Amino acid sequence: MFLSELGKLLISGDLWGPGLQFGALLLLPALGGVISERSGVVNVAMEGMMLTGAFFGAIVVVDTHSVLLAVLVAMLTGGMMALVHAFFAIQFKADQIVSGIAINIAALGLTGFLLPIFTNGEGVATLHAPLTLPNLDLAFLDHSAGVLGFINEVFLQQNVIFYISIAVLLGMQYLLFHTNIGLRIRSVGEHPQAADTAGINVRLIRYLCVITSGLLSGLAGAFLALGVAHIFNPNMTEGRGFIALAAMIFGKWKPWNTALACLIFGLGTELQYQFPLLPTTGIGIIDTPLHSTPLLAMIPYVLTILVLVGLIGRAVAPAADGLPYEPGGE
Amino acid sequence: MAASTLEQPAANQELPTAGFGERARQLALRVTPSLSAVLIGILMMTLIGSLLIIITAPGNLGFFDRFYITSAAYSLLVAGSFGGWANIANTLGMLAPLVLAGFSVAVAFRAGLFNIGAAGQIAVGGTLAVILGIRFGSAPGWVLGPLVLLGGLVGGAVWGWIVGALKAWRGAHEVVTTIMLNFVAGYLSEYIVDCSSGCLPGIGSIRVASQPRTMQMGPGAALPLVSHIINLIHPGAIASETSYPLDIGLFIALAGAAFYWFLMQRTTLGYEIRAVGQSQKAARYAGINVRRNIIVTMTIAGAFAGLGGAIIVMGPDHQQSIPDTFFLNDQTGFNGIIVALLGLNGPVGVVLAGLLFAALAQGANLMQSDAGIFASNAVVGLPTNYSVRIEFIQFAFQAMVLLVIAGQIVPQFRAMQRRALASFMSGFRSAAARLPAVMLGLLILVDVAAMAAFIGFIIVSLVSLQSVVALDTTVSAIYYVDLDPLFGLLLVFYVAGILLLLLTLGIRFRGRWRKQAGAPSLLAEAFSTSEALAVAPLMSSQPLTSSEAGNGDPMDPAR
Repeated sequence: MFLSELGKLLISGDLWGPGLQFGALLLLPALGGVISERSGVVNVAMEGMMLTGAFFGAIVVVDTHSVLLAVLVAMLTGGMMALVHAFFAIQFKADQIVSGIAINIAALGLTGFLLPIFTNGEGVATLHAPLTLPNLDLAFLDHSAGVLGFINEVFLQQNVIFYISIAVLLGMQYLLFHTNIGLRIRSVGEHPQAADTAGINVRLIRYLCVITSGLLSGLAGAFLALGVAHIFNPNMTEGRGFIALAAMIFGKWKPWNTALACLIFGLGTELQYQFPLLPTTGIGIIDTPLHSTPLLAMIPYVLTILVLVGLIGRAVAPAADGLPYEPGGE
Repeated sequence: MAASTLEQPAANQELPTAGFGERARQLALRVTPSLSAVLIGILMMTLIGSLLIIITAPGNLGFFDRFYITSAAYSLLVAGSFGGWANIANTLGMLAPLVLAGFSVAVAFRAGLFNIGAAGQIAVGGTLAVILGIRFGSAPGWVLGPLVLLGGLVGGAVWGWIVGALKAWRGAHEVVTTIMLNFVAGYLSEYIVDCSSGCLPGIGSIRVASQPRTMQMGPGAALPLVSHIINLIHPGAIASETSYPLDIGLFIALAGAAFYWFLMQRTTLGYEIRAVGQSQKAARYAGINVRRNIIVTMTIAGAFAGLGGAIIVMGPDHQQSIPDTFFLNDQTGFNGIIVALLGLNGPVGVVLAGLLFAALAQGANLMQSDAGIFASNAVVGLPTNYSVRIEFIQFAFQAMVLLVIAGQIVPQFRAMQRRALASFMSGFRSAAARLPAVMLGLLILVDVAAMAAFIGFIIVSLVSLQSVVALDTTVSAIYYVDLDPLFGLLLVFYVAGILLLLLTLGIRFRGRWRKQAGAPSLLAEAFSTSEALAVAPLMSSQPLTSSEAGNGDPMDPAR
């Protein structure tokens, strides 16, 4: 009974649909991390950029009733946080992890400080249909069953940002490994001195890459607030930026592998909502954790640690990742 | 020289022949960077906080009104943290967990590790302390108290050990693992307390206002209040003991500071930890077991934080019982990062930075109280629900301090300034050869004036508040605060003073700041300290074991 239900769950659209959604939510900041670290700037600030994007997205959509504008503002504010990080990391050669953590704390403080001011102390109320990011809905597939139903449920009813994130994934893979610009980005991350000698503007490339990661994280923030949760709460990102970071490491700084890692984390996230629906087995040691909210909430975090632990030694970061670039003369 | 340095780790810092004056000078040199860092922290906080308040005040306010709100806010902050014995006791009562969390981060920094996991270590330590306090609740205080403290220490140490072990054996980067373990620890604590989804029987959960809480710990698990001890010595000295919620956790934290100093400066282990922090390669060549040191360091770091967790739950604020999501939301562990960075990882600096934070938190409590800011809102015609969210100003301040330290902006800004000055001066260099000295003198004069203005401002604010606020009680007594344009003028002067102070302090402590700031391998750009050089010659006499020679650099984090 239990096992057959578990089997059904593992191939059901109820798991894979939201799993892919949560995966896409992680994919955007993770890809931002990929491009930032490929250019040699460690970025642990995706969390803060996401939170900033989520906050400004929610505020703008409430004020202007324009979802498109909200998404743009979310991306821009995420990008501005990234610009601060880039400024300190590249211009001042700050320690990039400390600077990233500072961005995270600043985002937490800024959004929490501004929330009561922008909303007269009431917070953002739950957002409803015209103010949220819409899901794709193909009416003629609504009643399909079997494989077609599964495909419809999993791939064709997703949020618009899901499809954008897939496009970003394809674009990122193409950009990094099939274009001149990608070659330059990777050379800057591997050997900035050599890249500089070849006439590449190291600082400019790094700025652009870090800002791109901010734009993507801001977009993910808007996705989170307007597409998934339909509300803004203080600290609503709950470590997702860091899980995306782990996914990036797990994916060995490669877009495809990172996407796979995000999918695993996304499914793990959704499992915590699906497990309590399973029937009981009668065996306490299995039933208790499967029906305990706090224990299930640990799944993504424990998964992240396990992935990190299981993998090390094989993942190699870009050679100049985290090292500020010093032009030869200095 | 090299060998003797190894045997006597501290020998290169204090020469045995140095007289008292020399030793005092050395001590002063070592403490000044911490002091100046804390001072700069205070100044940054006031500056950023002022700007935030001024900018975000409602739009119908005039220029001086905005300054007035700011000055009132800061007067309240100072009054709330240091005005009167009750507030001082409150402030000091918050100090212990902050300082211990700070040392948790600092000890890891010394080994080149970034411990963001103090929050999780506090959670596990605190939860284990609560469990012990309930299970053995009937034990007498002199057994139960130390037992609960020990439980917190062990719980935190285990949580820290996990991070160290994962880092040492599998290379998992501690920044990611600590953050993930923070969440795991928070949910673990919730699981144990909240019986609606399965809990530890006998520990959770009574519901207070529909929130699950743990049972009460035994009465022996409460740390004795300092006011209680004073009353034991001088019976009847303090009428109401509980109005002064300062427990002996403060002294435990100070003992922790002494232990930290001793560990780092006077033991082989501390020497090894610092060597690993300076350069893992050099440490390994000198025969130091880097993996073991990483694990030991994280265990010690966790023990510090866990002890802080125990002190939190044993303190007077919680009545020996915690709600389910307490440790998920507790910010002490994160404030510990700033405390450590601001205190430059030194024992004195961390305590001072902790004091600054405790004062901020306690003052913020007061500012949050409706009576405080709302009543004064009514006076200047503000909407009464506008309150200055000082706890988020704190966040902004933390981020800014981190960025300042991360970027070492002060010296860099000075260098930029100097370059600009140099190019400007190059035209009439010969005529103005003495000008730099004159300018420095002027700068110092302005500096002193700014300092005086700063102090004067605080005093004026306090005095004008004193007439209407009974500082020793809560601020419910504020009904009217005299609106004086003088506040505005003073504020302008003092903001200018802050800027000048920042710059001049930047000049004076530039060199030492750079040398001592932050974790060696994280924040310094290269290793070139006397310690590392002292161990270098030993390389030749230390045969490399095959495992160390073969792996390239296995200790490097994989990312």
